[in-house]
Amino acid sequence: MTRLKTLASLAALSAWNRRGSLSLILLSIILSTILLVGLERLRTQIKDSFAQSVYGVDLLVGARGSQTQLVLYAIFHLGGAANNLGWDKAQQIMARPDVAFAIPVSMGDYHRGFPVVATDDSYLSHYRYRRGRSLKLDQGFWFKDLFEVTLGAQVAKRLGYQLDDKIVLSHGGGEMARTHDNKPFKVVGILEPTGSPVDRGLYISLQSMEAIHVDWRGGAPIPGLTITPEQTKKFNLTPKSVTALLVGLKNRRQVFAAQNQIQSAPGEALSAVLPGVALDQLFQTLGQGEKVLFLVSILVTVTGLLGLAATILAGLGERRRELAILRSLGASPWDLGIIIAMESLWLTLTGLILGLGLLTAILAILGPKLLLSYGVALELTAPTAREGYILGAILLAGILAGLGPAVRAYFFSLADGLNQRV
Amino acid sequence: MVEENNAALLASNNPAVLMTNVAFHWPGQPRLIEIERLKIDPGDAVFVAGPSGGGKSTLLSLIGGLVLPDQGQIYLAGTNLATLSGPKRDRFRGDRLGLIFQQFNLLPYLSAFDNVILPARLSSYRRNRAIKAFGSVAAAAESLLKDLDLEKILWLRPAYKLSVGQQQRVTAARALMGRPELIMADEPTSSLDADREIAFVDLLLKESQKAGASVLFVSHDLALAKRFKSFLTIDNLKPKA
Repeated sequence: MTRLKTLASLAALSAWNRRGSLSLILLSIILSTILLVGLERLRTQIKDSFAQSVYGVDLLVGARGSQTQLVLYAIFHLGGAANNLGWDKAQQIMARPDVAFAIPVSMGDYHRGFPVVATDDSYLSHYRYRRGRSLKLDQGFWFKDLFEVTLGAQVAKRLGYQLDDKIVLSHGGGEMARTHDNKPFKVVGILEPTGSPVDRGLYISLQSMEAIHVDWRGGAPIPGLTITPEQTKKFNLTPKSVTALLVGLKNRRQVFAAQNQIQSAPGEALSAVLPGVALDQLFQTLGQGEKVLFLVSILVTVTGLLGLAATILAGLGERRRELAILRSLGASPWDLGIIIAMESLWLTLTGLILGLGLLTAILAILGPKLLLSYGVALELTAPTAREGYILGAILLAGILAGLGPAVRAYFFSLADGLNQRV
Repeated sequence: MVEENNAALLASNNPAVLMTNVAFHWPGQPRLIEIERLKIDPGDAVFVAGPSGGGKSTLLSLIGGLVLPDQGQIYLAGTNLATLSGPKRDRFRGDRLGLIFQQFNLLPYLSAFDNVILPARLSSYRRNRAIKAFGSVAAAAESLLKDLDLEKILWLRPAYKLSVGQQQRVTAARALMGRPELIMADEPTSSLDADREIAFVDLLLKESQKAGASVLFVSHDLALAKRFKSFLTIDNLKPKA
């Protein structure tokens, strides 16, 4: 043990003595670590925030159609729904004894490319994302009245909106979309960033959604008819339909029974989708890119470690004297191999620790900015088991990279013996 | 018969080195070493002379157990080197031999002091002997460095910042650390000027005697030979025709 300690300290001191040439290789290990672990963290957190875009919702209920389409539209606000779900039917589901909560969402309108979600207070109180976090307001409040809108964090940030700003919604998302310019909305609140699709939405009440469409028929304004915001209050603003219901059950074990009952109920044909399953399936299809990313970062790491092996090998020539001195002091060729292998162990270990430290610092500084600007939630977390494996693999590869030079040192020392004049 | 003679010799006065009927050649080269008998007694100081390429360094490699002879026996501190495995011979060399070379003796990244204690860190045999004689490895190193006239201010200086003469004295201290049975020196003074050369050899002999170590000194500089008890050339070790 004392001997191994001596060899370890000799390896460290010798490496420190050549710190100039080794620092570059250390830098490449640090960068490899940042890249590999950073990408892995990005990958898992993207997957996490994707799979957990909505959390605690057991069933997603909409008009009969494609599961994927329903999930994409109701949760990611992408694409469109073929049909809506009648309000009566929605209320029947909301009233079921096994339902803990049901969040109605009605969609179709946009504001400068961002989707408008008409819903009610249950959205704020029951919507959960990543590992069960609830929505919080950064400024102002959740809409209460007609023509009030609460913004997702990214909407406010990208469009530079503040409380009390007036905005106009448009019908549909395309270039040619008509606007509801006679019924402007007032910004009353801005949500905190979540790193989920919530950040990209504008939230209004179901009644507001009805109100902006009272003078519309078939997706277009009725010619010659203009109803002011004040006048809309006289209309019956009870929604006629919604896009989907996000349903949470009292007992999750009954999810299949509830799904079955909802789908086979007489009357309007409905789809009840398990969002977790649908999101997983969706990610399997969309997630090919992550594998390519992972492969690229492995290649970067391999390049870094080959550099490590090359640097140590190149340095062996000038270290033959040092090895011969140790040999004269009773070090065996095996001991010398250990010293060389330990050098790569030290370098890799130092690179890993510094890389992880730097990555943590980068995440601490850039994480909140990424969340707000790009909706990517990169959080400071303890390394996961998989990251542990990756770090272990880098370490192992570093030791393996040192083995080649170690074997060479072994044979050098056998050939050189006590010859000091190499 | 030879074995019996060797046993008798080893038993009689426990020589530091005993070589009998040793022959050696490097692969693809003619025979370089032929030694009928070489015996170095405890406390002896032997000067070995010979021309360059004459086999002086090979002789040291044989005694150090780095190479094994084609024939014959080599005993170091009473142990037949051929009976030890490679790693055991390495350990045994570290335990029983102190080596001094012409140059590049010290690890440049260690201080003078750390270079001196290195043998005791690599060999428990020498560590124990240093502790037995001086109470601790550090005390042994201090005593050696003092005896070899190295000022205290230089002890913690990295080896590469010392002058050649200072480096050679640190090397001598390192060779003597833990009182090995034999000190082997290979042209250790060729980088020193004449005055310093003699001073260094005298100091080495004095300290070796104090430590009870035998000395095998290899050099082409015959002027130094008279300071040693015995004088040999590689040639006169050969069997008489």
